[in-house]
Amino acid sequence: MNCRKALSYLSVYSDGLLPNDTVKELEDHVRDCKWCAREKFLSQEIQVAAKALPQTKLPEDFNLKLFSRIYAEQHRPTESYLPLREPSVWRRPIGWATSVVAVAACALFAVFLLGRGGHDTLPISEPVMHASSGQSTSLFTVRPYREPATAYENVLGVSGERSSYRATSFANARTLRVVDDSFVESLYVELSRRMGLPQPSGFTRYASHRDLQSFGPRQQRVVSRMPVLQTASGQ
Amino acid sequence: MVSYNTLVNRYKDRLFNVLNRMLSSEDEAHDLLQETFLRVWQHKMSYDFRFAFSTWIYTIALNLARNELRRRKKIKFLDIFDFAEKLPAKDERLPQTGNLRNLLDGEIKRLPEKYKTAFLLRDVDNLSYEEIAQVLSVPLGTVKSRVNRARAILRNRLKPRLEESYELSKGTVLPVSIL
Repeated sequence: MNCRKALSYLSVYSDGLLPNDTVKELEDHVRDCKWCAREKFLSQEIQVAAKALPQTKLPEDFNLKLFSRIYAEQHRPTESYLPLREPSVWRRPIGWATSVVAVAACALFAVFLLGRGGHDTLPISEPVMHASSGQSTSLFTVRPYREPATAYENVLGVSGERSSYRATSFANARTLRVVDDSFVESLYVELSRRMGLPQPSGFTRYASHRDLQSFGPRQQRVVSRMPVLQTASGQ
Repeated sequence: MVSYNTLVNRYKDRLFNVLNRMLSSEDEAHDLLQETFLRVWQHKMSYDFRFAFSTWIYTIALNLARNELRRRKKIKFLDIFDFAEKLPAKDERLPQTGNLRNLLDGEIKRLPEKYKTAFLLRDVDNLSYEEIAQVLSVPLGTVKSRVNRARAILRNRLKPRLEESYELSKGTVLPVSIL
């Protein structure tokens, strides 16, 4: 064993954790090496001195103070003794009621928006049509549909929306809503009668929504050029 | 409460001296010791019976001490007398004379914190390496290494003072420090 190794073993040796054969090697080396013997001596002296270090005494009343503090901590007023905080908005009944009312109002408004125009039918009896004067053909407005006509409707004159149809008069791009396309004919007859115009001699049928869907692009172009309404001749 | 009083009596002096040597301040050691026992009382239900009570209470005390040392690093306390009289630094004002125990006490305070803690627990408080590893939450090998390093530092620093003792010891088998 060399001095370097002996020095590294000194700490473990003094703890009594060194294996027996290594202990013997170390002791043999220390016996022959003065430098290592001195290191071993210093190590032992330090450890003995460490066990007998001067001890500082605690004050006599340490326990008393400690238990007083423990008692004080145990009897310290908890949060429940403190003044109550203002409860959160969500913990107040009025907060919940307000929220429920607000949500219900929003729901009603949404139903109103979605439902308006969904089921209203055209009131035929109302004289809301406007005839043009003079020589022009019978251009009219009948209860404009609330939504503006789409470009597609303007071109084709008809479009489908669920079970109902829209028919468009091309003259002023207003849309009127009808339940089916056969109704359009009777509407025109009624309009002409009220306006004192000659009865239409014939109609060009609108292309129905179902038809349009089945048309290809070329046929759609043809439909777009198709006259929507042929009024009585001579107008 | 009676049994708790017994526990306090059993550990208070050992813990107080460890804290005192770590913090170099009796007042702070006193406060932290009180805080340690208070926490033990408050968290007595969370004590894990698989581990030794000594390990648990040492862990609490040393954590408090480390927190205090960390706080000191953030807030530097300066002694106005150091400026006024330009005294040497505190570490240099160690007793140059006296017996080995006083010298060792002074040198322990100068050790780096991690070596000081390991040395105090092992050589002053006689905790096993396994217990120290649990208290400090470090591997066993690290504890052995720190204790070894602390002993080596102290040996080198105290060597000049112990030379005389060594010469004296040649005629006796007893440690010179107890003569």
